[in-house]
Amino acid sequence: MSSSRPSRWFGKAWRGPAGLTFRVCLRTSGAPTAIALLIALVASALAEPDMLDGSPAAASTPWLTLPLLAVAVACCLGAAHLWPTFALRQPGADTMRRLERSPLGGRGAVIAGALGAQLALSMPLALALSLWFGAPSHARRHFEVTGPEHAILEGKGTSVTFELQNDATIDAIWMRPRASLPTGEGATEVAITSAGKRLASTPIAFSESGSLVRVAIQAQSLSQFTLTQTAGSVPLYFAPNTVTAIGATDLPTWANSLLLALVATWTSAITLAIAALVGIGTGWATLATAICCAQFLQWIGNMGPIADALLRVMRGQWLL
Amino acid sequence: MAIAISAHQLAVTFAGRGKKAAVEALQPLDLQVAAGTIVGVLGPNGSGKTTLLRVLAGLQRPTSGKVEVLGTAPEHKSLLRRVAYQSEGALPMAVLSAPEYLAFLGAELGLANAESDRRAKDLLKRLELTHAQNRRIRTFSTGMCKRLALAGALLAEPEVLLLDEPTAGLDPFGTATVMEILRERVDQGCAILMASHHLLEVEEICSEVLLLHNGAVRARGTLEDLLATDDRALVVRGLDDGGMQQLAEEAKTRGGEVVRIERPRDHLFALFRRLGRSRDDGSPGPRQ
Repeated sequence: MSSSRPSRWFGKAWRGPAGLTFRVCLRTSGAPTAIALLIALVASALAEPDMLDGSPAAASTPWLTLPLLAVAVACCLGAAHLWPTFALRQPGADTMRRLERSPLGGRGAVIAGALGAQLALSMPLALALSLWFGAPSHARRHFEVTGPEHAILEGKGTSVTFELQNDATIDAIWMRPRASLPTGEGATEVAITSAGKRLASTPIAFSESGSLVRVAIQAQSLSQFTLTQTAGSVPLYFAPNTVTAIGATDLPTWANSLLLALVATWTSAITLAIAALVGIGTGWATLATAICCAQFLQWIGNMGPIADALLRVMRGQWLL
Repeated sequence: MAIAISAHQLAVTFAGRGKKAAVEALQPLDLQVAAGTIVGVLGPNGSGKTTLLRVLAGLQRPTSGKVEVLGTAPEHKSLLRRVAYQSEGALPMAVLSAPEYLAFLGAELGLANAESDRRAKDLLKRLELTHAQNRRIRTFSTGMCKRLALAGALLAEPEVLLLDEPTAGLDPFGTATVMEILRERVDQGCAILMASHHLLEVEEICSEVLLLHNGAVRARGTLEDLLATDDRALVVRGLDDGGMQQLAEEAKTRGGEVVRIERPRDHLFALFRRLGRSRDDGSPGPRQ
């Protein structure tokens, strides 16, 4: 091992805290990741997908989450366990304190090594699994649109105008309005226009409250568009972020998956920073609990960008 | 002889917290250790041995007094390679193998990779750990961990060795090997301060001892000074019981007192050492 090729390439860095943590995290994360991957694959095959927005890929998000979360937790725990000064009363802490006299006591390099290992494991996993679970073959940019404060269509002839922040070439508009109690009979139909020109040849019918409606339009540069109720008696409310313009340019899914791995690594950077603070005054058991909680809150509790990023990747939404 | 370790009125007090009273871990003490000597630090648990070593390793700031190791403050970065500290507890990073651990230490100590590998290989062979070099440290026995810890301490060929219980948990063969290595290091001019509960080893290897109790020095000096009595022993070989009796009578006539006549025996440690030698070179074992 000592005269290995990476050791010759990277010199002392390969043997130092960062390189060592990188190698140890790769080694110790292998088994937990494999188990999580197996569970995810079996569960995805057995479970009935809950079609969040009519997209089986988006419904598979939990199965993509599981292996990536396992990698993140295993790398964080592996790094914190490896380095004796991460928590109080760890074996060999005196040896390490003597070697690493910097204010962080080598923990910065250890965190870098753990994040490197997580990235190395997450990138191929995110790419392979997003494709396996059916993420679209190309990713698209989703543009935020802004509408009025109360964007409501509540009768024939009423309209709502949405503006795109930058002129963008789009080829679809996605909407997820909420329906109120109908005032008469018949489903509501809406026409989409821009500068007086119809963007969709046929009116769009809304049959269910909260369901996603995708409207394909001819690719064009738009700065605003208007929704006008043409028929029906069901009032529709467009809450913020429920109307999205979809970019016309295909972007590579593999790059999107790699971005997802970066976001996942970012959650671990936050987790390990928290762990470094918590570990100043606690033992290993408390530290491990803090790491698991921090990861859980970010991945499952939506306290961070990763949960949203997972869903976006599976929906084919470009992450940048 | 050059002074490697020097402490003047060194004292350490751990501040109390809440209802806990302050603990005077080391009462003011003076200490000098010359290059090429081994000083044993003896004392019961909690007597301040480890605290003294930690101060000298730069891990604990003294409350008062002045300490110098190789002419500089113990926490100075330049001492990292020149002074080695083997702590009493378990080794860090038990998921590594022994060569990985030593490679890490070598990198941290600034050794060139090739030099670090060469020394690590030699030390693992010398400390009989070559057979376990593919195993994780967590699978090592206590004795193997101790030997690996010593290998780590010796890796940078330091001028000062601070050893906390270096032979605790070692079998007699391992102890003999460690003693032999320490003697070699001393012959090369290394200064060693060794805390131990193993009185026999300290007696055998140390030129001076420091006896601590409750943080205070109870006794200090060379073994000759501390252990000498007015008695004189005459070791005789080749006489039968009659001859011994005559010799005893002669001693009495000259004003001496014969305390006892006994057949001396070697201690177990010497037996193990002989066994170890015979195992290594194929020579006959101990006398039956």
